[in-house]
Formats: sequence, structure tokens, C-alpha cells
Amino acid sequence: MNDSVKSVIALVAICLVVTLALSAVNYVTAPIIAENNANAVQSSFGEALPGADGFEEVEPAADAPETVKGIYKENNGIGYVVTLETTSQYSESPMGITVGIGTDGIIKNIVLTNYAETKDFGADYPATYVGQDSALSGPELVSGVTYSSTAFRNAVADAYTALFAVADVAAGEMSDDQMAAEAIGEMLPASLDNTGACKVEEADGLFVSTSRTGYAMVADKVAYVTDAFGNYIGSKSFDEAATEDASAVEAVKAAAADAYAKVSEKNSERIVKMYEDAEVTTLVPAGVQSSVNGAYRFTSGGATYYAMTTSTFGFGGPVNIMYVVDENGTIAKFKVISHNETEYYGDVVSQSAYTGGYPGQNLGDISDDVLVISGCTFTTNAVKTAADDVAAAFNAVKEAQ
Amino acid sequence: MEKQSKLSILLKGFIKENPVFVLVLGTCPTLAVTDSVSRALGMGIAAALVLICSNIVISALRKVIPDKVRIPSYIVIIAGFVTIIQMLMNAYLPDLFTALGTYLALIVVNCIILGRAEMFASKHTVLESALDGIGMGGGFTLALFCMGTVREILGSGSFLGFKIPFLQDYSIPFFTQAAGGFFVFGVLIAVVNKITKGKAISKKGFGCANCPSRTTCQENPENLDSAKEAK
Repeated sequence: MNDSVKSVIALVAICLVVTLALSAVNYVTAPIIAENNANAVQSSFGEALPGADGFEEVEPAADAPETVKGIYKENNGIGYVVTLETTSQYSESPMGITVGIGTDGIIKNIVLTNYAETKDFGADYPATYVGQDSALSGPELVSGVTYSSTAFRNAVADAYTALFAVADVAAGEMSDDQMAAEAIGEMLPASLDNTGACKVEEADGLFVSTSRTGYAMVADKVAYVTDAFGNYIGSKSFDEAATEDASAVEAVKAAAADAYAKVSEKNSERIVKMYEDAEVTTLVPAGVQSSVNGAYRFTSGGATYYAMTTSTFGFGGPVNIMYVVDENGTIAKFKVISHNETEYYGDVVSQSAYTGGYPGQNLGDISDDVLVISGCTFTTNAVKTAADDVAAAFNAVKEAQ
Repeated sequence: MEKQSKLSILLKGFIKENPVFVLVLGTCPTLAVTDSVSRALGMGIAAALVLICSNIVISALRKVIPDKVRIPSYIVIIAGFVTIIQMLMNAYLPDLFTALGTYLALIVVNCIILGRAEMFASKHTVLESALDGIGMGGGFTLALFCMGTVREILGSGSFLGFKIPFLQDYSIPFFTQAAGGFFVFGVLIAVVNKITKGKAISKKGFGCANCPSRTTCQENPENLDSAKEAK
């Protein structure tokens, strides 16, 4: 018999025997594992809601989040236990969470019933949620374990969403920065990072997203949002009784325009470093609600150029890039202003071997050979989004002239 | 092939050819799970069981498995035993299963197991391979136990989870972290070298004949000769 045929037969036979052995062991252990998991969840109820005296299952609403596996009401009415199951990007093994919430809306305890991540976010992390209300304004995400801690936080938020639909539980009050972040994230999706969250920083009452693609001010439970250029987009009310206030709209427009002007001063300096004779005009394009957070026109050597700054999310956070293009949309300069990508991997984005590929390319038609950074999916996605957004913003600016 | 007594096959894995401190294999789990003695013991025993079972099966099938597909066959057998251990541990020792997490599944790619399959089990009898598995698995467990003991006592002030008075108040968290793992690893290798006076294993034992990549490696003199002939 041919050697190759023998090899194939031997390998297939080994695979079949191993499969049979695994099936037999699985037949014996599967029911025991299922029972163990059920017991672990049940035993976590008392731990999650101290002082509980038995539970009665409550049917979740039909549109309850998928992470919610069960809602249980304590017999004496002191609160509820919600069982959750979620996964993060780095593990297919589900994270099991049991959260005990009192009728006052405060988290009494959280128990992790299953967690098999390679990198733990620490035994103390769930405890930071104890004492929080539905606003979850206290706990921070864990640096270096962002995906797992985000999955954990979102699951706990889902528990409240499901509970509010079927039970009379007090809602917590969101802080101003939470309202601002939620409003910016909802109206300007480019402000959402890779975990789907929008983070904001505050200065003199004005909140700005980490990518500087949106601004917001909060007054009387209403968040007023502008784009990166100070153009007013809209408001989001966090209280049924609250209404939009015209003076607050003017205030956020003025504050955002002022912030954009300060950013533009720095960007103008960057342009002058590249083109010594440049006379820079700051543009305020309307309808550019993307990762583009700065637009400028300048002349140098008799030619007119446009500079656009973008901020998209790579693996380590925002990747800030400045494009300089001529009137025909041909790239003249490509400069990475700042990034936090991993050394020897994503940080290739700022090296001349990579950035040198851009000049001469046409916006909207940049070759994948130029854009793609091998082995760095997040960084590549960031530069691709930036390229698309700059092309769209350039067209918008040209059409507006 | 050098003739070895059964006792020497059994005992060599503990000190003389300890897979962790002498052969420096399986470093990843050694550093990852030895922050506590219970995790170290759990991982050591699980890997030892897989090693013994896979050594026995591979030795029994050594004349049946064609040379061309020996590595994929070994991997399938090893992965099968690892999955069985995972299922049994999940069913009967769920706390330990949770504590070991992903590292349990990573036993499949533990180079000690594939290394022993290729270097020993595929060339020796079932009994000798079983003894080698017990010796090497025992040596691996012993090494992890030593690492775990030092790291847990100094890093957490406890042993097997039981708090040690006095030390509890003066624990050094450095030892439970990755850097502490490397530090203890280095110190223990030095200790083993001191005990064996640096002659734990003959360097001749690492020749091309025992290397899993011997048929493709460009540095192997046999391949150089055949390459010249081809030209």
C-alpha cells in the first residue's frame, strides 16, 4: 500500500479512537458539569443578596438583554438577584455573574460564578461595584484588561435594564460626565472606542471626547452636544421633565468653538513647521460628524492645500493623524501627531517606512498596500477609517466653497 | 541506543534531567501557575497524568504510526488526553478547574509532553515509557511545587491557602508577580546546578539525533550532505 494512504488511514483511525474516547468521557461528565454549574449559580444567590430568605423566579421581559439569564425576587422583598452570562473578545468561555440588587436600586454584592480569562482583572474589581446604583458612576475600567472589564460593566448595566422592565427598583442618578459621554457617543459614533464606550474629559464645564470629535455641556439633566468644530448637533434629556434651554445651546456652541480655536492654534503651528510660508485659515465645515476633528486651508509657494486632522481608535487608544492634500485631493503629507500603539507592532504607523507611502496617493483611492499594517488589525482599521473620513470631509469642504 | 535501568529511567526526571530546572522546558505554565501551591500542584498532576497516558499510548503505537504523520498523531493523542483531563477536572474538581483556567488547555502545547513523546516514548517499550512519564511528570510536579512554595510563602505569606502568622504581615507581593516568578525560577535553576555541580545532563544528549526537527533542519549534517548530493 502506498505510504501516503497508510499515513492517512493511521491518522484517521487515531482521530476516530480519540473522538470515541472523548464522547464516552463527555457522556459521563456532562451532566455532572451542568449540575455543578447550576449549584454554583444557586449558591451564589445568598452571597449576592445577604440576608435573603429564598427566591422566586421572575420572567424577564421579552426584549431583555441577551446577557440576562434569570431574575429572582427575594421572598421578603428585600431585593432581586440577576444572573448574567457574557463573553469578552479574548475568551469564548462565558463569564458568569450573579448580582444582588436591593429594592433601593443599590448593588448589595456581585459574585463571579465562572471566569476563565488568561488575564484576571483582579478579585477586587467586582467589589468596586458594591454600593453603586444604576448609574454605575463609580467603577473604572481596568487598564490592560479593558475588554473583560467592559464586558463585566455592560453586563451589570444590562441587569438594571432587565430589572427596571419587570420590577419596582429605584433608579440611580447619572453624573454629568456620564450624561455627556452617553450623549456624545449616541450622536457621534466616531467618538466610541473599540469597546463601544465613549470617554470624556472635562474642562470648565465643557466635556470633550478623548478623540476630540465631540463636545458637550450638561445643564439641568440635559446634555447639549456639538461636533468637533462647534456646530450644534442636538440635546439629550435624562429627565422626563427637563426641556432644552436656548441659552445652554449658545453656551455650548461658544465653548466648543473656543476649544476648537485653541486646538487649531497648535495645528497651525504644525502646518507652519512643515510649510514655512503657510498662511493658515481655520475651516468650520458643517455636517462633518466623523473622526475628522480639524480642517484648515493654507497657501504655500502659490499652491493651495488643505490639512485635516483625524482621531480614530487603534489598539492602544486614539491615533491622531494630520493629512495635507492639494486642491485635487492628492496627499502631500501624512503625519502621525500622536498614538499609543504597541512598540514594534502598531507603532509602525508613525515610522517613515509606513508614512512615506502616502504622499502622491489620491484621497479616497489609497492602495491597501499603503494602508495595511501587517499583523495589526486594530491599527489598520484606525488608519482605514481615518482615510475614508478625511476623503469625505475633503469633499464636503470643497463642495461648500 | 544507550541502555538504561528501569530505576534510572524513573528517577532521572526528578533531578538529573528535571524537565523544568535542567531541560528548561514548560517554562510558560511554570511561571504562570506557580503563584500558589494549589495551582502549581493541580497543573503538575494534570500534566503528569497526560504525560504518562500519552507516553504509554504513543509507545504502544510506535510501530503502527507512520513516520510521516507521527507529529500530528502525537498531537491528536495528547490533545485527547488533555481534553479528558479537562472534562474530569471540571466535573469532579471544579474549583481547581476554574483556578487553572486557560493554562489547563495549554498542556496540549507543553513541550515536555511532545518532547518526551518524540525523544523517548517513540523509541522505547511501554513499561519504560510509562516509567519515563512518571519520572518526568513527577519531576515537573516537584519543580512546580518548589516554585509555588517559595512564591506563595514569600509573596502571599501563606501555604496551600493557609495563612502563616508573622509572614502574613510581611509578605512581598513581588514574588506573586511575573518578575518574581522569573527570579525564583533563576534561583532554583542555580540551586539545581549547584547540587549537580553543573553536570546534570551531558550535552551530547542534545545532538541532532534527538531533535524533532532533525529531518528538515538545515544545520543537521545529514541534511547538508543530502543537499550537496541534490546539487
